Amino acid sequence: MSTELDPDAALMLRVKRGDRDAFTALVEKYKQPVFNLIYRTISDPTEAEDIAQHVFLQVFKSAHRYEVSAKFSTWLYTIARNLSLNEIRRRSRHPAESLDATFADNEEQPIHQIEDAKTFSPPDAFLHSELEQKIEQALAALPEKQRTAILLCRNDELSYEDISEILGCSLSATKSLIHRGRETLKQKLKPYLRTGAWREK
Amino acid sequence: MNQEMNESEYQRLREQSWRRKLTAEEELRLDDYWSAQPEGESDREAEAGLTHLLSQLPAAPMASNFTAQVMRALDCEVDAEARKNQPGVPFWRSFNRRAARIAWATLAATCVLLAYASFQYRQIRRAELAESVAKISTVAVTVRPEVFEDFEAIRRLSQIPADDSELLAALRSNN
Repeated sequence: MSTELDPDAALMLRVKRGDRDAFTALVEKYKQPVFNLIYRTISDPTEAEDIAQHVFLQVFKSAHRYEVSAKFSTWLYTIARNLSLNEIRRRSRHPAESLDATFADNEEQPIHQIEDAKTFSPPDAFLHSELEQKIEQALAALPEKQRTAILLCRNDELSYEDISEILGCSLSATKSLIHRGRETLKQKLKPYLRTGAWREK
Repeated sequence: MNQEMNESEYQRLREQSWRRKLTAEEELRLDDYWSAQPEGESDREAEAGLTHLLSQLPAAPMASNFTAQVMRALDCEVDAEARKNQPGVPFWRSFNRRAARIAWATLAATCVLLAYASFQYRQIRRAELAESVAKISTVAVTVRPEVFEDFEAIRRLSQIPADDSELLAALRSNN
């Protein structure tokens, strides 16, 4: 893949040379999709933000290893998924530990800034709707690979091949994951989908 | 065969609809497929509804200053890295410091050792002295002072006189 075809790769080449503006541009472009994926994987906004930060730091630190032949977004989502899975593993090993608990007493920590940021959010009508809550719950209940495949599938920039690379499985296995995940979602949301309640949104 | 073709095309279009909004032409072809299968109307409704809901998932709420936070964290990382790579105390100076520490430690250990040896030596000497005193006191208790009245006579007895050759010769001649 040439840098002309992938503007992200061109930015990464600049990051490789230490260009911080190029890095800022990449953060600006990908912060929301990366955060969405992490947030829906670990279901904790504070830790999701912390991990998203680490994802971008990792990108900067590993810039020298980045190969232009690799698609940047695939590489980025692979890092995001790996760090999210590490967090899940860490939680299962140390269930009592929480960053909330660690910073609870410190008024100066960014955690409070993040909590304040929750006040601005997508339109309330949709955010607080029962249907939206139901779909979020149904997504959260899916196995990690099915959920990640479905979430990445919504991203126009990623092909099925890219998604299979991020998940580390074959193309057919990826499509099967999406299909099975969607079937589960349809079953759980059947009452809402069949009545056409979704059309009102 | 035609049905099979339609099925594979349906699959392809369905997979496309998971990723993006279908074009008007694609929508029409999908409508044709479904119109041939009226029993699948509810499936179609569920499929379309789920696709719509997933596409409408709201962005997760994140801090407005996220980029600034990342850049700040990056600065911290760069500073920490620079500090790690900074040359510290020159080797010779750190060597001197280390040598001085070792010398002081050795001196202290020697002093402790000498003090201990001196203490042990005095203990042994004291024990020997005590033993000697004990022996003398035993003698002093067993020998009474009267014994020493005839000391001179006894001492003389222990002195064996030289042979009396004249007397010996006289005795031999008598025999």
